[in-house]
Amino acid sequence: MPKIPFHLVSRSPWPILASFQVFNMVYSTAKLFNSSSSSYIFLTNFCLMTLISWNWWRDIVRESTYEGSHTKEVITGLKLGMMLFITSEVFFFLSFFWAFFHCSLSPDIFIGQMWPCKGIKSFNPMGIPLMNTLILLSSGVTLTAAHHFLMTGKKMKCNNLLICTVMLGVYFTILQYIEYKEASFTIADSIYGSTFFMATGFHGIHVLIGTIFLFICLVRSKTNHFSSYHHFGFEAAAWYWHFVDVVWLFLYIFIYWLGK
Amino acid sequence: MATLAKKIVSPVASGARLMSTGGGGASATAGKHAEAHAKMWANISYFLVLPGVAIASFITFKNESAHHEPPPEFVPYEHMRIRKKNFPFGDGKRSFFHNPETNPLPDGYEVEPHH
Repeated sequence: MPKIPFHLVSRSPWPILASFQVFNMVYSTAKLFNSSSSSYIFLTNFCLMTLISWNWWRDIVRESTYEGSHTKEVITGLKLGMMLFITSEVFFFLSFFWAFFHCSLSPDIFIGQMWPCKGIKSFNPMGIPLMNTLILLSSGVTLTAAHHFLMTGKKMKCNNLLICTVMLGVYFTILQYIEYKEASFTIADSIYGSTFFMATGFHGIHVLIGTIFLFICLVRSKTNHFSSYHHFGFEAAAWYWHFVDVVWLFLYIFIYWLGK
Repeated sequence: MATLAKKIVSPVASGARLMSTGGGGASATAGKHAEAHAKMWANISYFLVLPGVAIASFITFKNESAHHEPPPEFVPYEHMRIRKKNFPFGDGKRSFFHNPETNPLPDGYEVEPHH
């Protein structure tokens, strides 16, 4: 066995299966947009994608926690990978902001030359949206506290604060659902509705994913997967959560507040 | 490989490295400082942030229930209620978060909104 600090991965079916499944996802998503009878194909592919992702990540957790394969050099690679992933996410959201600014800064005559478009009654930014801002900022504080306790080896305190963070994430999702349900416009109501629901909807999906990521960290912390100096899974979840938090701040300022 | 990996990330090795960087005294001070830092963040969370969220929730829900504005009047604008193809769920006519009281269909509200 060569003595190198890198992780020479063993054979795994997940990369090739994930590649095929990503193609299936793209195909079934495109089909979903064009035919209402394709929703079952999409749901089946979504479940398969979830299954493959679950198994791949389970193997990574095993390699890290039980086999000790995540050396300092490997963690450097994981950190770089997470940074690149978040950078790609920044550009993903940038495209929605671009669409929003393109349409809102010089409103077309067909939408009444005004923003929000004629006939749209936008949300009061000082109501639930402000509450949601407070919730996400608060969750950032509780998560930071949890991280500090993890670094000092106080697992119990870390877990309690992680539970608070997950609960704040769930609270945000519930409030966003209430707001969507009470909205006087839909995704099909003018370019305002389309840009609003695309941007805030994708952010909502990211909050859901971030909440699941933090919940997995909570389960891993409770089962002693993390030590005070070896817990990159937790740090990656925290980076992702803070990113989601920052995106919300931009959404709140430009779409809810200045674009109302 | 596995042995080497364990060497690099093992608690004993890492602990020894931590201790050797600044000596016993410096490490203990750093530990105390880290604990004080964690305690500060916990105090902010438990005594400022979480009560703040509870109070803000109370105020928000009180205001939201007091100022319940009626949905806008239905006007068949061309840029609203766009239906170029069916939605890929339900009967294809209603959006995912459809509310019959606040979201009119292309020909008007389904039910009379509560004022």
